[in-house]
Amino acid sequence: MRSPVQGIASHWDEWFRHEAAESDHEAIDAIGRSGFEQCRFIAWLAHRWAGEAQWRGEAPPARYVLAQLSRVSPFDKWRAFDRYRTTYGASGISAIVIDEQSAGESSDVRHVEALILPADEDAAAHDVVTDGFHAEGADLRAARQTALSLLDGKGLVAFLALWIATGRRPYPRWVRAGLLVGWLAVAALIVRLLIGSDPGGRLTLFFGLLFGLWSLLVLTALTIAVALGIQAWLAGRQWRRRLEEYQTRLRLDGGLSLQGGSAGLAFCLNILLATFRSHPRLPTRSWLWERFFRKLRLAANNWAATGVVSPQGRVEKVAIESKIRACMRHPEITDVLTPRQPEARQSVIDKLMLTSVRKTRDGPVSVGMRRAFASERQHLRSHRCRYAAQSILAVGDFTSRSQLAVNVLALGVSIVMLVALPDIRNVLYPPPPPAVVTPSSPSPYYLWISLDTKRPQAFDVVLESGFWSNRRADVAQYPDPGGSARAEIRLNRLGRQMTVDEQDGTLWIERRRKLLTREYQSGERVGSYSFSYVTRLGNE
Amino acid sequence: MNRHLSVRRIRICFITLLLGGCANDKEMRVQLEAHHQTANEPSLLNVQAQVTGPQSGLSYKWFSVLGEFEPQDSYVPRSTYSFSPSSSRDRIWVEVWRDNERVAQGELDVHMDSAASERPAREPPPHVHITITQIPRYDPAGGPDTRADISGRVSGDFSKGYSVILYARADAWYIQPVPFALHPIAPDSTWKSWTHTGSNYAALIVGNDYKPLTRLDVLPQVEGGVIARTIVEGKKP
Repeated sequence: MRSPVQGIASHWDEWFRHEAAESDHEAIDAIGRSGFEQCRFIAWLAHRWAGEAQWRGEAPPARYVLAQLSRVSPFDKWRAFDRYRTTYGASGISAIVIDEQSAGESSDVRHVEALILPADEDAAAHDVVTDGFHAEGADLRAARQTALSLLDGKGLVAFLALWIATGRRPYPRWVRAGLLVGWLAVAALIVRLLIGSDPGGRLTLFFGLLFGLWSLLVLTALTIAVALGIQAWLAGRQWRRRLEEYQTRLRLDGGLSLQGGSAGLAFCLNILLATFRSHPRLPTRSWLWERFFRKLRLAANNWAATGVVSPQGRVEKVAIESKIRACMRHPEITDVLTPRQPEARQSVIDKLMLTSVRKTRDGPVSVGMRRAFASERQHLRSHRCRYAAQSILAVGDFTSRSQLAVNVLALGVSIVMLVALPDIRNVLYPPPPPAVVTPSSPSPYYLWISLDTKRPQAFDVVLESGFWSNRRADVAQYPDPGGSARAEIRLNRLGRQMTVDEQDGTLWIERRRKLLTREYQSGERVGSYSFSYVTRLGNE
Repeated sequence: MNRHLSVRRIRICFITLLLGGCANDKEMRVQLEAHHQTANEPSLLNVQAQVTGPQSGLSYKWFSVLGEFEPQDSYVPRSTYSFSPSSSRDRIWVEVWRDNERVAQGELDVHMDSAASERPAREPPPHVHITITQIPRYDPAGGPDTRADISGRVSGDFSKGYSVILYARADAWYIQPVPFALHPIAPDSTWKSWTHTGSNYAALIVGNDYKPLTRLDVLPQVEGGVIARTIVEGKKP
């Protein structure tokens, strides 16, 4: 038993042949005699009937219904139905399918149409149904599976990762300029702090400014990326659910039996477009998907795609030369999506364009005239994709060199900031002053100043003595069993000592202020201990 | 309602983080340490405060129950305490002030007897001798990266309860081989250890409760806790 939508043609045919009254036949014949009345009937069906008839809570797809009806009596003889016999009116990116005898002609670039419909209740119904051609079920399933993955799966993750790395953002121009200036300012501030003069007492201000600005920029970037990513995921999830529940119909004219799966990428993108068309207004709006589908619809006449898609979303290599040639000969194709293979490089295509045959516009040449060429230079752009997710990036025109440059700058600056974060933290949020604790040095020639702190790099120690040489030492965490944080001072008696007291001396604990390799003037002194106290520590 | 609660929680977390970040970085702690000033003056103590916390603008006020400090107010964390003639123990305090505000306080119980081991012995020292029989090489630079064996013998009238401490001379006398090391005297009256090298070597017999200093400009005389000592020059090739 077929559903009312899937089986509308057979239901009509049965009614028309066996159940319709004589008066019904006469009324239908009357409408069919006039082209105007035929058009009125189509308009009523498309706008009135489809708007009012509800099937599973939705309006049935009028174009599909018209296409079905166009093949049964009496509509198969109505001229107004002619265009519905060959198209759903839902064209998308073209596939390049080379005819058996062809070496790559414009006619090999073929429109692909896709629709998704509520699935038949028949358990044996296929997920993907072909119309006008035959293809291997595995190839069709792979295209559908990839489309599902792009909506909500690994494909979407790959797309989001690529977009975060290289994709344009929905910022107004002034925000984009502001962010660029912000990142440049952070970079300049880092350079200033690394090689400029010592800021002295203003170091805290500089560090605060640096950290605040960097945090703001990172927060902005992350917020936008996460928000748009979540929106894309939520919208994709709803479309995926719909695609899983519905049946996909693919149409490719020409009565071809496809050998190989190189139309898979085109099928996949058209399945995505069909899913969007079946339910364009979701409660969750997604800037990423809206931009992609808007561009995809616009690209329908000028883009072609070739590539075998694997269920994992990879675009596998194909025999490409004849396909490129077919695109070059096609008067409307300006962009082609290909697998990532050397023969599809832009330089190769450009070279081929120079030596290739000229494009010939369709249309007859008048009697007594000869065809001549005054063509502008043709251009075919190649978009090589290793993954299907990259085709979304290409079609949606997401790739932005300026954004990529900003991202590289931001990444570099952020790596430097992350490495420098402990130093910045030590200045902006200094740890509590530490006390001197055990262990003391096991060697009489050294003085160990062990501190009870978890952030040893925030301090250094100064020895001032009239008997021993003055010393300055950084505090570091030592990996011995005790794991103590300490400064180690090698003692050296002064040549001209100012006292005979070998216990003379004060050890000062100072806050260390540094940024990566740059050391600044020491900060506040936060501890003073006598030399004798530190020497005796641990033995009393 | 939930949103209001969430916002409140975020605010509390933020304030806690801010306070946590700022907490304790101005905290002051003070610890007192007292040492006998000279062996001959058991009633005088050098008192030193070990101060943790920001050091700028600090001043110190010294207090006791019975004795007295000189000075009683200082800008350095040191003062001298003298016991009252009528007492041998006391409690002392130091208050740390900054900008008319007391920022820390420390206290310590002191005993005149605590310096007893440093007091010169009234009774004559036991009649003992110490010799170094295995003398390490002469090495005026000395230092932590060298090593040699040293041993010796003790003779005379002494009981258990004594040990040997060793020093090697470089730019000063350094105890060997590690700080506070006491080397036991074997039943056959010998002792042995290893040492970093130096120009001269010294061996001292001290009571087991003796607290040797790690570095010295001048070695202690035979008095107080030291009952015998010997100094030899390193063996020259």
